[in-house]
Order: sequence, then C-alpha cells, then structure tokens
Amino acid sequence: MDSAKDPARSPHELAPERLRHRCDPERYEFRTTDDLEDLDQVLGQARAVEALRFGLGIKRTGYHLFAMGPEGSGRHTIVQRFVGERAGAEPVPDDWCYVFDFARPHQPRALRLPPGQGRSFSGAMTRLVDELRAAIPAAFETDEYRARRQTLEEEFSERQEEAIEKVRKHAEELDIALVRTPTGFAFAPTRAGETIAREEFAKLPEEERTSIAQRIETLEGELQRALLLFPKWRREAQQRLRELNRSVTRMAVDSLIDELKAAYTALPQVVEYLGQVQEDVLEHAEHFHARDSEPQTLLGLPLRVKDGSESALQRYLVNVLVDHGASRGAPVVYEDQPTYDNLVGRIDHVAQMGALVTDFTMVKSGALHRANGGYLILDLRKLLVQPFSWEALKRALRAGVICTESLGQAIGLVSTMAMKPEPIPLDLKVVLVGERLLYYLLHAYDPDFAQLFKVVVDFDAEMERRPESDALYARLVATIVRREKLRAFDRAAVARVVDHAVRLAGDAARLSILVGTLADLLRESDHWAASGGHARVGATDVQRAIDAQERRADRVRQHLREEVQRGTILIDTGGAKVGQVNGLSVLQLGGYAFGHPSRITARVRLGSGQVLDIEREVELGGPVHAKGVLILTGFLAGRFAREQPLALAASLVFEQSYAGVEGDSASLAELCALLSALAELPVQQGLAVTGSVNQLGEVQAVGGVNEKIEGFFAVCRDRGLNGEQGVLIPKANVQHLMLHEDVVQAVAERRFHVHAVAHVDEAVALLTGIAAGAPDPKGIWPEASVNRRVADRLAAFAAAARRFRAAGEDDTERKP
Amino acid sequence: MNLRRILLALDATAREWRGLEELAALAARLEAELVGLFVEDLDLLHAAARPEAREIGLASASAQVFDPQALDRTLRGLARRAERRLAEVAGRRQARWSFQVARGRVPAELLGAAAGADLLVVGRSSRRGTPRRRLGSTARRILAAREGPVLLLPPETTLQAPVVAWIDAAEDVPAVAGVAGTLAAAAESSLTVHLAADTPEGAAALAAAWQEWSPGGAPAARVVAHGDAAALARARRDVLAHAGVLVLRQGGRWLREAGVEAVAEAVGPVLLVS
Repeated sequence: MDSAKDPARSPHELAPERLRHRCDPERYEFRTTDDLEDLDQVLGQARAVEALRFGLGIKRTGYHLFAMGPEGSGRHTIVQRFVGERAGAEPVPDDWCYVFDFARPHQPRALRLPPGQGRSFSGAMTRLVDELRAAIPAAFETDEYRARRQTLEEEFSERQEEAIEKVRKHAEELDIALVRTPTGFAFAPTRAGETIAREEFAKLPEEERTSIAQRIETLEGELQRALLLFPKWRREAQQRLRELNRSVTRMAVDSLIDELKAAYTALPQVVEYLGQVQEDVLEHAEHFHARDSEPQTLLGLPLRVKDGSESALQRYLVNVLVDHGASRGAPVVYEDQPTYDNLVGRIDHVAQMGALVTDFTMVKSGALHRANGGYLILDLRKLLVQPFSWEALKRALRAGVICTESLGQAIGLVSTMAMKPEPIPLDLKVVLVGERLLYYLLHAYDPDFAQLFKVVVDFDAEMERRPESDALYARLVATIVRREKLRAFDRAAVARVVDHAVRLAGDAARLSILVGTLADLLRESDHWAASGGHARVGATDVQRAIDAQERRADRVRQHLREEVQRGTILIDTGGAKVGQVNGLSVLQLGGYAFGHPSRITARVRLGSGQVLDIEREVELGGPVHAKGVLILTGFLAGRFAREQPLALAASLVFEQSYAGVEGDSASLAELCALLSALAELPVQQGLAVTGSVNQLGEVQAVGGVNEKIEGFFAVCRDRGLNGEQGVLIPKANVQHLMLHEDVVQAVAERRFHVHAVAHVDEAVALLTGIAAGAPDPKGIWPEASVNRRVADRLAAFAAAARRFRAAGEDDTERKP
Repeated sequence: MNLRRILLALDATAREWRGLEELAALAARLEAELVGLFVEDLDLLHAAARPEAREIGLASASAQVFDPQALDRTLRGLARRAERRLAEVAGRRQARWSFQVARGRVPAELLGAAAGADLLVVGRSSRRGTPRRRLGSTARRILAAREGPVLLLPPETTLQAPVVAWIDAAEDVPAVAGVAGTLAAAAESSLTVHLAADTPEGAAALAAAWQEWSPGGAPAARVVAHGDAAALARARRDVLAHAGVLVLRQGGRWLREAGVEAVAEAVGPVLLVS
C-alpha cells in the first residue's frame, strides 16, 4: 500500500503537529523580557544544588566537592554564587605571618593572628626596629658606657702591658733590650743602653756570648709564658665587654619590647616570639649600630647588601603571608592558573654574586594560604595540566597543612640546604570544577581521589520540560539579557529561544540548560537585531542567529550534500531496488551535528547461517555496530529457521563509507535490506530508515533522530520533493522530535512523510508496499507476504544445503 | 705658617695610615712636598744579628729563628710597599712626593730628617703592640726633642673637621691659632678656638689676646671661652672625644698638668705646636 498517495495518513505516519513541539508565544503574558523579573533559582539543577548545599555544609575531612557537567552548564557561576553566599555568612579567618625562627634560622616560624592584626603586628615590629636603631646606639653613646668600656679596655691593655713591661724591665736588668719586630718581639744584648752590633757581638768573649744567650733564653721563656696568657685575658675582657653591652642594650630594649608584649598579651605565641626577639637583640646589639658607608665588596665587586646593618635587622621583620584586614566573611579564592607555586606558595630568591639567596621575608603565599579558612575553587583540567599541582593539592589536603617548598625540594631533586618554612594548618573546602570524564578517570585510577572528593555535584545539560518550565526559561532569558545588557527580547523571540533549547536537548520533552550556549545565542540575536536596526530582539533575529550559527559550521554538511547532488555519493531518493536501503547516520564535528543518508546494501546466497558484516571485517565497524549485525542473524534464525538450518550467507555493507561506523542505529535498515534481498522485493528508495532492532524484531530508539530526518529531507529537497519521500523512525523516538520548520511544513503539505514504526514488519511493509504478514497458528506465513517469500527462500536454501550435503556424503563414501 | 715640606715617619711596625689620603690632599692644596722616610730600625737589626737570635710571635707566642737576611728582605718589602702606597696616594691627589730609606735608631733618624721639614707626622700607636691609647716610645722621644710642629696621627683615623685649637696661654695665640687656621683653611674645615682658662680673669686675658690677633687671623672661627675649672675639664674631655684635629701647644698648660700622654686620649689626630 502506498500510503503517500493515500489522502488518509497511514497508521504509522506522523501528523505535522507531532514533529515539532512548539513553544506558543501566545501563552506568555509578558510583552518583552523587560516585563520579567530575574530568575532567583537555578533552573533544572536541583540535584547539583542539593549536592552543593550538602557539600558546603558538611565539615568533615575528605568532603571536598567535585562539580562536574558539560561545558556551558553554568558550573562555575553556580558554584561561585553558592560558595560566595555561604562564605559571606562565615567568620573571617585568622591572618598568617612568617617570622624568623631564632633557634632554627632555616625554618621560618608561622604566627597566627586575629584577622587584620598581621599587618599591624608587622608595622609594630618595623617601628620597633626603627626605635631600637635609635635607642641602642644612643645607649652606647652615653658617657657612662664609654667610661665603663674604656675601663675594661684599659684593664686588659694594662694587664698586657704590665706583663710585657715586666719582661722588658727584667731584660734591662740583664742588659738585654726587648725589641719589637714586624710580627712580635726579639731580644738584643745592650751595652750602655744601646744595642750591640753584629761585629761588636762577635768580638765578645765566648763566656759572655754564652751568658747573653742564656739570659736571652730565659727572657724568651718569660715572654712566651706572658704572651700565652694574652688570649685568655682577651677572652675574659671580651666576655666582660659582652656583659656590659648586654646590660646597656637591655636598658634600651626591655622597655620597648615589654610595651609591645603588653599589647599582645592575648596572643601567647606572639608574646613568646617577642621574648625570643628580646634575647636575640641583646645578643646581636651590634647590628643596630650604623656602620660606615663604605660598601662591602667581594673581589672588587660591590656586594648587593642593604645599607648599614639593615640586612641583619631583617630578621626582626614580619612577613605577612595572609592579610584578612579588609576581608568580609570567609575567603573565596578562584585560582585561574593553578601552578605548583600558585597553589602552595613560593620562596623567592635574589641573585647575589651569582648565588641565589633567600630569607623568610621572601616566602610568598599561594592560593591555599589565601583560601585557608574558606573556599578554593579550581578548574580541574587546568590543575591537571600543571606539573605536580594535583599531587601538591592532594598532599596538602591529606596532611591538613600547607608546606611551602620549592618543587625541587618537594620531589627530592634538590639536596642542598634550603629554607623550609613551618607548615601552616590547612582548613578549607576545595571545589573542583571539571568534566565528567575526568571525574570517572580519576575515580578509577587515583585512589586518593575518592577519599578526598566525596561530594559529587553533577550538573545536567537538560531539564524536564513541564508546563511551568517555559515561563521559568523566559525568566532565565530575561536575566541573561539584563546581565549582558542586551536589547529586550519580545515573547516571540523568547519562544523561538525555547524551541531552540528543546532542539539542543534533542528531546521535545526536555530543555537544554547549557547557559553558556544560551547566552551565546542571546548575544548573537542581539547583534543581528542591532544590525537590522531593531529596537527589540524578535523571533527573526533569533532565527537569523541560529541560521548563522549553522551556516558557520556546516561546510562539511554542505560538501556532502553537493557530492550527493553530483552523484559522487550514490543515494537514491526515488524508485525501488532489491537489497538496498537508505540508512541514516549522524556526524558530529566539533559542536555541530548533522544527519546524512548512507546506502546500505545486502546480498544473500546459500551458506552456513552467517551474516557477514563487511565493516567489521575491515575493522571499520565498532563493537556496537557488530553487535547489531549479529542480532540480525538471531532474528532470522529465530523467526525463519527454528526447525531447519539457516543455510544463508549474507553480506551487509555501508556503501561509500571510508571512516568508521559505530552504533546500532542502522540495524533496522540493515535488516530491511537483508529481508528485501531474501524476499527479492524492491525497497522504496524515497524512504530512509533509522532505528535499532532486537532479536524479536522490535524497533528501539536511537539518538540524533532530528538531525537524521533533516539530513535526508535536505537531500530529497535538493532533488525536488516528489510527495513519496520520507523517513522511518522508531516509535520510541517520536517524543524526541523537534524538527526544523521546513520539514514540518513539507509534512503538512504532504510532500514529505515521517513514519514511526515499532516492529520490523511495519518497516518492511512501508518500504516494500507489501504486507509483512503474520503466521497462522501452524506457523505458516500468508501467501505473497514478505515473510512468506523470505521463509520460502530460506527453505530453498536449506533444501539446497541438504542436497549439497547429501551429495558430499555420497562422494566421501565412494572415494575410499 | 708655611708648610712646604711634610715628613712622614714610616718604619717596620707602622701600620697603614688611613689619614694618608687627607694628608696628601692637604699637601697638594698647600703645594707642600710629602717626604716619606722609612727607617730601618738599628735595634731590630742588632736583635737579629746573633747567630742564635729568635723572634717570639705576638699572636702565637712561638719562637722562630730570627734570620737577619729574612729581616732584610722583610724591611725592603715593607719599604717598597710604603713607597708604593705613598706614590699611589700622592699621585691621586696630585701632591709632590719623595721617599727615603734610612738605617739607624728611629727617633734619631726622624729628628735628623725632620730638621728640614715644616711638619713631622708620626704614628701614635704604641710600639708595644697593645691596644691601649698611649704614646709609643718613639713619639715620646720625638715630642721631647722636636722643635717644630708634630702631627700625631692614629693609624685608624683621618684628618677631618672640625679643626680645634686649644689655647691656654695668651702668648700661644699666634702659634696655635696660626697653625690651626692654616690647617682649617687648607682642609676647608670649620675652626673652633677654645680659650681655656680656669678663672674669669684668665678667660678675659685670653679673649683680649685673641681679639688682638684675630682680625687678620681667622675671622671665621667659632670661639669658645672657658672661665672655671669644671668647664675647663668638661671642655678637655669634649675636644678629646670630638675634635677632628686637635691643635695645642706642646709645652702648654694642659700637657704640663696632665703630661704629654694626655694627647693619647684624643680620638682623632693631634697637632702639637712647639
């Protein structure tokens, strides 16, 4: 029966109103989006929102969040909004500072201060140093100190002088002079107070020379004994001088530091630190004396050292790592470039004479420091592409501390002595934003991941389309329009946007909630409205934006359509052929998907019950496609060869397919081609088929049904619609239909048809124009039905096979 | 006062003078000649002359063979180094200079050579190798015998402002103020004149003498008069601690009372005018 020629539609043909579930602008009560309020809820992401609330609320180890979903689903915006709202109501965390650790100079000490006090403490310490620089030298300038120091020095000098003088006098008594040499002393014999020249000495009698030598030897011994005491006396003098300096320094230092201690009595850690400062200043008071301005040099090159003793005084400064003085609520940090250093902080160095040097003031904070006590949001992909960042984040979360160290140290490549700041306790909530694939991969391959990121926030790309959804969607449009400062959209434009959202969802009962994609469409519609001189954005502007998007992306589709028109790609859209069916496939290129027909052919012959999938044989077919083809064998055997061998050899192929074929959405078309070949009945080439089939012959839903229908429609339209062309789709896919207006129009004018089938028999009947036929109680198929012809053909194959087998057995018996 | 020839005493124990730069600059400005005299100490040579002579190291207290040839080499090396240093500094400051080496007893050699010099510059450190601020035996002997001006220059100090003239007798005004004025003008330094008396009458007499001399002398000087014993004592402490160059009369009242060793207490150089 040719339903296309019948003025009444066949039972399988779909009426135009079932092909597109329009959003009716008349249902909207507003005139433009200006009349609508902003949407105050997250549309269609109830699951994600619930998970977000739970994840942010639970304060337990490992309950960090992973926000996943497709790009453009608004993950970042929604996460930041919820985190921001929650953080705003939470207390501001403490400041963190690094100070010099006097006991362990290479391990800067972390100090925790109430919010805002880090900066003020740093200022107080800077002022203290300035005051000490004035007070300590002043204390040493007093007459009292000078006199006491001079007394000490003179005591020491006199002690030495007396010792030398004693030797000198003893020498004089022995007619020996004590003479100063460039590096020490020597003794020379004298006569009448004058030293004796060599010649004179040589003339002395032997006894006298011997006597002189003995006297000198005695004196040398005395002098040596005296000189050996000098270092001890010097140490004693230095110790007494140190004590004097300490007591003088203490007078200047104690009052200043005690005053500071009093201001921080509530912070024992700070008071303890100030006590250490006090002791250190007493030990190193010399650093506070201004030095000569003569520059320090090494091998004649000036050393990069700050004036005076400033570099030595740096140890008393405070490095404010995290300052929450101006913060309101808990911090929310989004680190756009999560490098290792940007996460855990870094230790800067400065070059000095070719060497890199550092100190605790050069420790810089990372995102973990800044977000400590609050929330850190990271893009997982960016995190994973940065070397060692992922490991560093996990290590910090596992250990509950932030260790700032160079990458070289962290991975054990550097063994030189390096600064190791005291780890800072970490208490924050991390929200990773990423794709689903990354989540599943990490879950499968990284054992730490599941322990640390226990809360999944799964963002959907679509939402269920309920009666109230279109209105809410209109408010979403209005919200974006205002946020982006776009022209107002009239209600027809909004309805067109909703239609497009349904189409993007690929399901008439669902709406796409990819906010990014939606915002792109709104911005582009506004652009076309502006270029058209429209004060508001209308449906035509939206349509133009959609068309332009398609146009920009459809080079390949256009090329394929041209090749079909030119006959390079063989697709029949009229007539009838045996064993040949138009299948439909979807090509996804970047963000653009389109449907395209492919010719599927089947050839049959006598064989051993195998259907040969040529795509599979040449490794162009994927496993799902192969499964679909194997199901066909099961269907044929189950229906036609339950009591006889399936003596069939068939081959199936996607003609002119040079790339891979995957999916089972062509299995209905393949089965139809096979049945056509077996029944030797021609198939209408004006029809194309999509749908998968099971072993019982039931037709199952497939994806991309809209694109597939439109793909075949476009080819037919290019050649001229003849009123007989159409597409067979699974009945289960009817609910997904949201076809282009052109297709709907053609169907309404009966120039194109969309048939929904639930069973292969329905499809075969539509394709061949002959009823498939149902078996009678004895299992006999009706005469002239498609199935009868198939059954007869298979029975003939089976008989032939038996004949061949019998002939073969006879030959075997005769041979011996 | 004319300074045409400045004799610098250099010997084996003299450390490098930081004040040499300023001295050379002063000589250049006064168009005077710097004469470096390195004296090879005869006592030292005699000490090394005995075959079994030994040297006791000051720092190590150990005895080493005191070889006369090695001593000769050392002295020659020190003389060369002193000459190089003088040439370098004088060249930089564009001062005339010459260098001599003499062998003999240091005070005698210096005094002999200084007879033809307008100023003798000697180091002030003790030769005994101790850090105490006191005069060495050479300086003491020179001060005792020298007729002309002597500048005692501690090795670690430089000539700097202010030049301070200490006058405690009316008759000393021309000599002390004259030298101090010349020095201050050449060094472009401020000049402070202390008229030091322990009674108001004494102070008035000094002021009168200063007035008589100063109109043509040093009009830019800051004059401080002291008229009681306590103020005098304070002023002495003050100038010892803060004078850039202290100029005073060698046989003046201060040194008569306190002894010549008092100048060793000065932080900076002291120029003694005879």
